[in-house]
Amino acid sequence: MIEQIREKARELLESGELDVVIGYAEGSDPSRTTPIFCRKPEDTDKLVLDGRCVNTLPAYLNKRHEYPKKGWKKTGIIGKGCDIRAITQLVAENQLKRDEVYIFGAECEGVVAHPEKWDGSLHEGNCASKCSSCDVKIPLDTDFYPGEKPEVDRSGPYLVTAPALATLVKMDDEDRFAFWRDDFDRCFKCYACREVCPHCSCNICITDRTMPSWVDQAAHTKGVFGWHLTRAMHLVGRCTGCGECTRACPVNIQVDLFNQKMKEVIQESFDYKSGYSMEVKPPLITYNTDDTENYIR
Amino acid sequence: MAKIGVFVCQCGNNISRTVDTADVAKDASEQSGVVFVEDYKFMCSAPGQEAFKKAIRDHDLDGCIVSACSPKMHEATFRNAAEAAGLNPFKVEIANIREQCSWVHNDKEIGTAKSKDLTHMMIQRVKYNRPLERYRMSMTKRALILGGGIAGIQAALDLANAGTPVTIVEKEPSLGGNMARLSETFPTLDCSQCILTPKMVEVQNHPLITIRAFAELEKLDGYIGNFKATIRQKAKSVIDKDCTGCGDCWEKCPFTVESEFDMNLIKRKVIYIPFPQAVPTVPVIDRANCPKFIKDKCGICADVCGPDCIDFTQEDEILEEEFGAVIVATGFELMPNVYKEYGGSSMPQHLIPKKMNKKQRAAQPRSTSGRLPDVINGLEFERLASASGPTGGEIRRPSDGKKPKTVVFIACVGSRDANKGVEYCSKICCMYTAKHTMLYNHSVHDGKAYVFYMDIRAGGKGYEEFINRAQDEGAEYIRGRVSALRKKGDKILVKGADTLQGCAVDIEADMVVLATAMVPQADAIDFAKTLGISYDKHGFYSEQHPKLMPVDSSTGGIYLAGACQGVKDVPETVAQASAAASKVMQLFSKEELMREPEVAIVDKDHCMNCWDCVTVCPYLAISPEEVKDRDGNVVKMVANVNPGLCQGCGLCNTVCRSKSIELQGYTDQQVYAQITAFEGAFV
Amino acid sequence: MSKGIIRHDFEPKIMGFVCKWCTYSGADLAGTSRMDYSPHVRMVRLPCSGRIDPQFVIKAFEQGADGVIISGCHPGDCHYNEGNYYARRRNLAFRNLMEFNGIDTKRLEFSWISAAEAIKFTQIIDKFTNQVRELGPNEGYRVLLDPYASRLVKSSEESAA
Repeated sequence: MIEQIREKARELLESGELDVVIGYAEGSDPSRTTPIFCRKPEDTDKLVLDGRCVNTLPAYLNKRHEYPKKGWKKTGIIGKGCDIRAITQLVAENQLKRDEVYIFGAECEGVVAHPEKWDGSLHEGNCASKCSSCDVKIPLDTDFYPGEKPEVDRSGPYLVTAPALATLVKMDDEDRFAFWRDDFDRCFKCYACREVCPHCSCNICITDRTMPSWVDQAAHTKGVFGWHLTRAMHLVGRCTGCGECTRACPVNIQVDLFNQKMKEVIQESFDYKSGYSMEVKPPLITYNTDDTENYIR
Repeated sequence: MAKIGVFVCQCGNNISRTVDTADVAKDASEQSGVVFVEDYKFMCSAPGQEAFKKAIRDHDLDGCIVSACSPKMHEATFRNAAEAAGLNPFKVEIANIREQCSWVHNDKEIGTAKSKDLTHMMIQRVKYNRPLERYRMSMTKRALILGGGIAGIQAALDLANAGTPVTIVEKEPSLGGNMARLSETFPTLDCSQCILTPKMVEVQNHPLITIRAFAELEKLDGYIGNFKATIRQKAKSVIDKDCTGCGDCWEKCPFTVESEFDMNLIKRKVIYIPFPQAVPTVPVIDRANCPKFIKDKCGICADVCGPDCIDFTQEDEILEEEFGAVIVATGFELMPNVYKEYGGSSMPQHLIPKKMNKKQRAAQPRSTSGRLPDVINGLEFERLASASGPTGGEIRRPSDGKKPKTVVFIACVGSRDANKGVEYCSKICCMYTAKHTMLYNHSVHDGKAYVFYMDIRAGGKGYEEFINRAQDEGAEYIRGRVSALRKKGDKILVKGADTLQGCAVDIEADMVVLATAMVPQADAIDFAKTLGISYDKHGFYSEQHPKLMPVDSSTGGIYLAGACQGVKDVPETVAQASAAASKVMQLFSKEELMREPEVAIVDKDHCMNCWDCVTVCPYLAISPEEVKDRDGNVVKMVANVNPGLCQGCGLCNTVCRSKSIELQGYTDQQVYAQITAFEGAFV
Repeated sequence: MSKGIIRHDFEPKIMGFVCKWCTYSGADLAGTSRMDYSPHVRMVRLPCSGRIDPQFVIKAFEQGADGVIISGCHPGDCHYNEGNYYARRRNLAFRNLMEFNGIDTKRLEFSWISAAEAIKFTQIIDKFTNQVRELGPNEGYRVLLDPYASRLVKSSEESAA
């Protein structure tokens, strides 16, 4: 599988059709892979693709980063199904033009929850929870797919609630508040969750704005509450569920639980799944006159 | 450091009864930035305002709070006073301590505490109020009227008589619209053309009115006061200015096709005017059917034309014109496709051209298969009853030309039933059905008219009396629906129900007339998108406010008249057209266009062009703009707000994640200041 | 006429974000009709319920509000045609988010109040004030207000355990 991708990537780099191919290469230790930017055809030999490839590479395609400004006309990118969803969403949000990227897609068996849990193979014990409810193991929108792309039925609800989410939802408000308070107490606002996110695309983040400072800059718990609520609210209907925010968190706060919860809400209320279409407008910038209003007096 | 003045009004004892205004003033004076406080009996009185102005001048204030009544009462008063004293009016804020405090709380302690808090919030807010300037814009004092029916005609005449130059764009070759098709009008039974055609002639002769018949609006750019319209003048193949309207060409033209104006009941020539009184009386060549254009044969019209004004090579002309206001008066049509239920299409069998092949048949506007020829709709009946119609005003059925002895009229066809058409009431059908029965009874003295109805809705001046008159003149009203129409010999068996008697009714009718629902023009929604106005789910154009702004569209400078906005009869249409015209006059009565500065502005450095604001803007006021470097290369795209279109709702500000667009006057910083000043200092 | 003033041990702080066309006018009408209602609400006048940003609500809670009221025109009545439809969606999402964060959604009120509904306005204010009063202070957030207090609470909990 990866051989075919290597071959194709080499071919396209040689022909000059692509200026760069973003993929994964062996990392500093055997349990990890690292993102690689292949500029030369021979670089493609380093490409790997397996359960250790956790990073969401489309984050690099986001305009916020310098990479898109390097003058590369067309960028190749190796994507897992969930990454390609992120690309679709970026295109839908006008952060990327579809014809500026060339997507190498491959069937994905899932990825490890955290590189530390890698023991040479992928199994139930170390697989990321997002993979259990994945309906894009055969990716959606690809330019290159090794072999024949099978037809997949994606009409199912795919609302498999992560175990952590299920327990949290069952708690009463006070306990849930205490849970988050304890978690957020650890947060020191390194903003790793923001930096890895493929959808945080503002050139200036609301938390860096000071007039007014809607989010307290200080890393005390109040400011952390404000930050995570804001972040979750900004990703409503946009998050494609790669879970990188949680993986990147150095103090193990499960920030993607917010996103997962909102994903459920959005899907139930507005029948919307982000990352599946470049045309359908995200739910918060559109409306129906007969939307639910059972919470309104 | 801010220099803020706080003026606490006692409002006689309206405020001071439950609020210790002196205490509020004293408390305000302790707030940072406050350099002047005043506690006064009536701030809005002349001496109060003078004191207000004097304080601004003496203390060189850069922000003022008036703690008084609701901003709806006196915000404008104090802003004007501030402007007179040299302070930007948008640096004045009102703390509402009367309607929302002193009048609703009876405890002085509570009232005072709440007043202090409300005043604090405004003090913090006003520190971040930016001085704003009202936008002054020049405008083109010309009006564009889309549609030359009675609504367009009325609006054009009203405007032109008030001195405004007007252009009417009409897609058909003549003005007149649907009203020109009507025979007589309810409730007076006066002849429609007799009252309409003099107005059409008046329009033609008016020096300030330009008629663009056989033309369509392609594009509308710009905003209130400054619209730029792209109009396609379709090729008439006749040179307007030379044509005398003598009629030689259409008399000699040997080719005929169905007349759209006469609802396909009769034929017209290929070079034609839709009806004899057409305005302008300039014929057009129907190129789709003219042999000169199909196979380059004939050309008789050019031979017989005296002034030599037939031009077969004429091409569509694209005109770009500027206007300050637009009136949309595009009218209605009758719901097509109801015949499936009631047996067929609108085109009588005997009139279907024999040579038509299968493809042509399919291309006909309505399916012709299985239609009962003597089932017609209201407008077709109007043509049958019209003195200028195909039968010269004698009511004869389309299939064989016999006088129908029994006619069944069916009301609410396609209306008031979401499953079989539209859920709204088509409103005018009760009245015109009554009129039809009378016209029929006047024409066929021994005939019998039956009306199947659901309810009679006759809520207009003289309308109920009119219905009674129709019944007195012999129309038999049966309350119930019709389940089926079947052909029986040369008659139509109408199977209906009489719900008052509780029995089934079968009537053998010679002709059936369907009171079909009025619906917007088939292309109404596309046209609304061209104009940038909003519309409801049926395609009727939405008014700005259902009660208080019934002629304004959602877009500033575009007004609505007639049935394009909702079902209407002629008097209502005329009233709305005059109202729209008066709105335009109101707009044009000023030298310059003044726009409130409370509009959105974009932080172009940080806009990340996700276009969420473009998507949510209800007024299409935001559009992408290119940012170029010195060499003219496009560096990036950012959002750009057109202050002429922005109405200041602030939706864009809310959806912008990086807060790169903000609503002036209600900026995030102002709201933030208010929130952080919130103490809830309630004892 | 007067409801009389009853002092409670706890008086909630309530912040209101309202649309100026409908709810703010409704509140003015309550004033001109001399209706009596709870004095706990401080309202911020905004052009449209669509202008109400979730940031406002978060900030209000951070600022010590025990409850927040959001109110605008009824669906179909929006002065800007569609602002309240967007508000309705946004607040549905935001409400769920707050709930997931462990903030009692009884502290967050969303209502449609037209300019004529002065009675509804006073009823909603009274009812909501009582509701928040029964819930008591927004303890969780109040602890957060003081960054050091949260640590103290935690350590005291630990020592108690």
